[in-house]
Formats: sequence, C-alpha cells, structure tokens
Amino acid sequence: MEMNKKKQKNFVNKDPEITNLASGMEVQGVAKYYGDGPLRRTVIEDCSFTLERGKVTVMIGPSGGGKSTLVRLLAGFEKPSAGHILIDDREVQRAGPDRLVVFQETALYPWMSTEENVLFGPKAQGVAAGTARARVDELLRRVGLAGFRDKYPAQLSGGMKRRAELARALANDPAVMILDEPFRGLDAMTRSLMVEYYAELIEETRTTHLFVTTDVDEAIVLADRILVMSHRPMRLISDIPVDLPRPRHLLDVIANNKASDIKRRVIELIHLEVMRSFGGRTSGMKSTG
Amino acid sequence: MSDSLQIRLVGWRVRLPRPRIDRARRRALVSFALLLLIWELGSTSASWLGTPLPVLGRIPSPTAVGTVWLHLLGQADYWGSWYQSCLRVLLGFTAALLVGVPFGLWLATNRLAHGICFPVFEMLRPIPPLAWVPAAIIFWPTQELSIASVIFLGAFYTIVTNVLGGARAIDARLIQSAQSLGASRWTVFRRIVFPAVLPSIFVGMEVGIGITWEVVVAAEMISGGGSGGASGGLGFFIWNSYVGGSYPQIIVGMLSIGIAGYLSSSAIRWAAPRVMRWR
Repeated sequence: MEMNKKKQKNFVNKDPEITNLASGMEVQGVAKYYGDGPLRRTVIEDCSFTLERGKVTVMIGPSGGGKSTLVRLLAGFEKPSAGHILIDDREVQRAGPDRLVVFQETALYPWMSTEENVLFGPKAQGVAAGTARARVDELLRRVGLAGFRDKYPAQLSGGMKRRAELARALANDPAVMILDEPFRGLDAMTRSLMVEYYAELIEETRTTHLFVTTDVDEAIVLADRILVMSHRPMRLISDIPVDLPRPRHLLDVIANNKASDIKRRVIELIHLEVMRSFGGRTSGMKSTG
Repeated sequence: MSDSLQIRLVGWRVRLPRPRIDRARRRALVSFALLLLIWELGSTSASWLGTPLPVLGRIPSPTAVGTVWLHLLGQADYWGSWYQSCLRVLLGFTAALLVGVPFGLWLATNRLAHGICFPVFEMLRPIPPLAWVPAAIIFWPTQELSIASVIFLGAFYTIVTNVLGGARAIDARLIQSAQSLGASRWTVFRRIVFPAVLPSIFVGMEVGIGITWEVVVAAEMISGGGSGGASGGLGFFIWNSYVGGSYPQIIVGMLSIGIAGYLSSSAIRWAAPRVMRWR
C-alpha cells in the first residue's frame, strides 16, 4: 500500500516515456500584474514563446525587467494574471519536480552537507536509498565535489556552491531545467569557467533548458535560441536562433564571425531597453555595440 | 622596559595557539578584581575616609559577604534554595519550550491559526509575568503550580516571538527550491522550515531563561517560598534574609542568582553550536 502510494506519486519521474518531455513548454499570451486599479504594476505583458524539447533557450534582457517573475510563473510558484503556461499541453498548476528551478545566488540548504543537499530531491520523491546514493555519487564526481561531500555550504567557495546546486538539480532528472542567472555574483574568472563547464554538461544531458542571463557571451555559448526581452512591462522583442556548432567555448564568441553578428544584434536590442530602464536619459552613454 | 616588552612578546608567541582565550580570561579576572576592590574600598570607606560614601558605604563588604557565604556553603537550607529555584526554572522553562516552539511554528505556517491566535497573544504578551502572580496564587490549585505557570509565561512569550520572527526571515527561495525538488509540505516543514528557525529558537531560549530567573525570584518573594518551607528557593532566601536583617546574606542570595543565571545561559550557548553544526 505504502509502496503503491509512493510509486503513484512519483510516476512522473520514474517512467522515462513521460520524463522526457513530449512536446516542450508553451507560454501563451502571459501577463502578470500586481496590485489593482491605479496602483496596478504590470510586470509582464502579452508574452508568448515556446521552450522546445531538448533545446537550450536563453532569455536575456535588462535586469529588473521581469525575467525572474516569469521564472516564478513557469515554475508554478505564482499564477499568471492572464494567458496560459503549458507543459506537454497540460496547464501548469503548481511547483513540481518536472520543472526544476535553480535560483540567482545560492539556494543550497545551509544545514545540510553537500551530499545531503544533492540527495534532497531523490529522497523527497522516495527514490530508493541505494539508487539515489549511487546517482549522487556519480553526480558529485562529475561536478568535481566528491571530496567535499561532507562539507556544509558555508565551507564551499562560490563556484563550488553553484556546482553543488547544479548537481542537486540534475539529481532529480527534471524534464525542464529553469536557471535564473545561476552564475550571478561570481567573479569574472569563475563565471567563465562555470559557463564552459555548463556548456559541457548540456552536451551530455540535452534536457530542455530555460537559461536566464544578462550576459551576452554566456547566452551565445549556451543557447540554441536567444529570446531578447524588453524592459518592464516585459515583452518578447526578438527571437534569435543561434546555429553555431557545438561544443562551443567562450573564445569562439570572439573569433567566430557569425557569433559576433549575433552578439551585435543582441547588444543593440538590449541597449535600447537598458536605456529605457534608465528613464530615457540616453545622452549620457555611447553605444557599446 | 624594552626587556619586559621582549619577554611579553616571546611569551605571547609561545602561547600562540590559544592567545585569545588566555587574554579573555585575564581580562575577566581583572574585571572581577576591580569590582571587588572598588566594592571593598567603598563599603569600608567609613574607617579610612572618616565618613561612609553614599550607597557603597552602606553595603556589606566583600569580606563580610564572603565569610557568610563560606558558612552558608555548609548549610542544607542554602543548597535547598538552589535546588528549589533550579527545579522551578527547569520545569517552567521546559514547559515553555515544549509548548512555545510548536505553537510559534504553527502560527508561522498556518494563516488561519495566525489570524485567530495572534491578536490574543499580542494582547496578553505586554502583561508582565509578575502581574499574573496574585491571580495565579488565588486561582491556581497549588502554590507550586502558580509559581510554575508564571515562570512558564516569562519564557513562553520570548520563545514564541523569536520563532515567529525566525520563520518570517526564512529565504523564500529555500522553500521554493524544495517544492521544485518535489518535497511534500511535511518534508518542507521538517527539513527546511524547522532547521531555518532553529537559530531563532536558541536566541529565544537564551533570552527566555534570563527572564525565567527574574520571574522565579520575584514569584518566590511574593508567594512566600511556596511549598519549599525553609528552603523555599533563592528568591525566598533573599526575602527571608531581608526580614531577618541579615544583610550580607541578601548579597549572597543576589550573587547566587547571578551565578545560576550565568550557568544556565552558558549551557544554552554551549549547546547551540553542537546542535547547529553547520554554523
């Protein structure tokens, strides 16, 4: 009985047919506003796009523009004020293990060791201890934290924390990975290492990704598609395919002509939006593109 | 001068592994020695100054207090008072902990419970525990129970308030990421909310146990020592010494409470990092 119940609760993750997304995620005319009447603040306005199955979609836009709000809607922590968010043609109702969110900065549990953090997801879903442990062992090795399994997050460096967090996300084998500026706050060196590292990881796993960032180079290295978003209220401005060969490296973005073209397009689009977010005072800054 | 500096430097370097503990201890000793010195000089001011200093000159001197204390150390009643007060504090405090932590967590996680209980809680909270003493003595069946309930209140409010504050400060991302990892409500509570609130519980305990000592002493004074009789607790001990005109003994009682309070909050401070190993 007990076993049955557990099985039923977790069938989403155990059955590979369902685990691997059938069609992807769909965002249809989504809007989000807070407050009412004259106090209403519109954060997202008429947003539509799809997250293709097995593809990395990178969302880029000015900070404070509403990207994190959209992430919370996709994750199911909040409901859209209008429009629909579908996963495999079913409406997203609440947070679930099929869509995994990695947050800005770190959200590791400070009271759990690295290993306990990574084990949290499988354990919460009732995966058998032996299976879970084997998987966690393998993941910790893959992110290079096997020697730090008993350390608490406070004892890890910034880059290690992000790697631990990625391992925790991957341990659940989610159908969709949603990463909200996961490398924000890292120093430039560590950040570029993490990006390269993550690009490799994508090669191996090929799950459906939404990767939110404000960094254009990061976007180009990781993306199959770049969604350029406007400043608040947030809309989709442009949907740019990135058909560069993989595996990619940060240096490619400098050397490759095609990549440079994409970079210029994205920067031009974002520049306008960033200016808008500064309240239209465009005179003080020259184009960076 | 330069020689002694040299020696001190060498000495400091030899003791390098634990210089901070030693320095802290040294300073603590100096601070106690200074206190005793000023106190002794003040209370004997009549003999060396010709006229007693205000306030200080009227207090029994440390030597007088020490002599009385030494004598009391052999008395069963004195230790009986310690035992009585410690027992009351322990009982009241444990009850406050066992009721306060779940109650606080319940209010923090349940909107309906918060809506219904919090206004009443906030109205009762400003009533000092000591204001309950007369009512408790009259309405509660036994004297011991009335003292215990007043002690309970002393720690209860602080613990609940701290739990609520700690729960409010939980990073929402921790809870959201747990939900997105597929955790049930109970798992989120047990493995995220509770450990997140634990530091606040310890703060509440540390403050709460201090209040408990304030309250137990006053309650014992007012209620006449409860059922303890001759050894009716440290509060009763002080009151009894006052009524009997044994002034050094009053000071002994006061210092005893200071020591008891210090020991109990030290115990909590000692336990905190051992329970919360991640900090």
